[in-house]
Amino acid sequence: MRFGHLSRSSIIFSFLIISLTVILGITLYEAYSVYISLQESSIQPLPRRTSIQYVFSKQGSSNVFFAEVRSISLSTSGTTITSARIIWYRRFPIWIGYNVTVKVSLKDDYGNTISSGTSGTVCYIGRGLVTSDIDLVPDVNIDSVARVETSIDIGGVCWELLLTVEPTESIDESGEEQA
Amino acid sequence: MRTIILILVLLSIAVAYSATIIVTEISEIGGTDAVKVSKYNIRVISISIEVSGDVYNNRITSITVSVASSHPGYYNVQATVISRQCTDATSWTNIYLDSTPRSLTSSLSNQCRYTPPGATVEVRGVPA
Repeated sequence: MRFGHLSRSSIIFSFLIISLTVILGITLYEAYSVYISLQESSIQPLPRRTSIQYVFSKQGSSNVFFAEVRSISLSTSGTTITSARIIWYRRFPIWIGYNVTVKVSLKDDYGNTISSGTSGTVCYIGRGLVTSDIDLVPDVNIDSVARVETSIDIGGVCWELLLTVEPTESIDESGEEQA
Repeated sequence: MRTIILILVLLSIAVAYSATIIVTEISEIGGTDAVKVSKYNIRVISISIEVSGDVYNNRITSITVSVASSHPGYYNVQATVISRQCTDATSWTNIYLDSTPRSLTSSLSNQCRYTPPGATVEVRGVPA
């Protein structure tokens, strides 16, 4: 069969080329017309800070000579950390007092201390829970804190508690002492 | 001529399908819709541990965390206790968190020894 001056094979080839071009054109259109539809509610929030570490300090060496942190609470005003409350337990002999200093430091993602505070050194004797409220300077945003570290430093022997009652120490209704 | 056109079409398709989306600042997705992507901060306000007794060789038996998030939503929260070589973990799933701290308590299975210099507690939260 002849179609004008074209042979049958040329017509079939041309038809194939045209078909292929149409298919490629459609494919090209589909490829470039990708539409990504998103709704705010369907997007999970991105992480900025996913974790925080708290370090509970424990010092001492025996049943009659140790101190350990039981609770760490940050006091905030909005998102600003202003102070920390450390509840710790100490067990010392009833006949010897020890000077104890509680420290808190807040660190950022790079390990830098961005805020810190100390309870001051107080002489303790015997056993019991102690609550230490520690002001942190400077105030920092809680979102910049990656690690909260506490330390209980048991210093030298002290004797003043054997003679006088420590004025800053009181026992509240729950049996916890306030320092 | 037809061959050249075909090659050009094929190249265009290859380019179209091999296009790489490079995002330099993930704060907006969606082009003209400009959908804002929220970011969240997990905020741990307090952590308390319970111990097996008021003795030197005690163990950490349970943990209470007070946790919040800057972005309201449901989160899976995990707390991990590390004391020397011992690791203990507990988790809470599908917990709704917002800016108000929520208290979560759980007992610990391994009950690591609480020995000097102390223990580290890590609290982690990810969207549920």
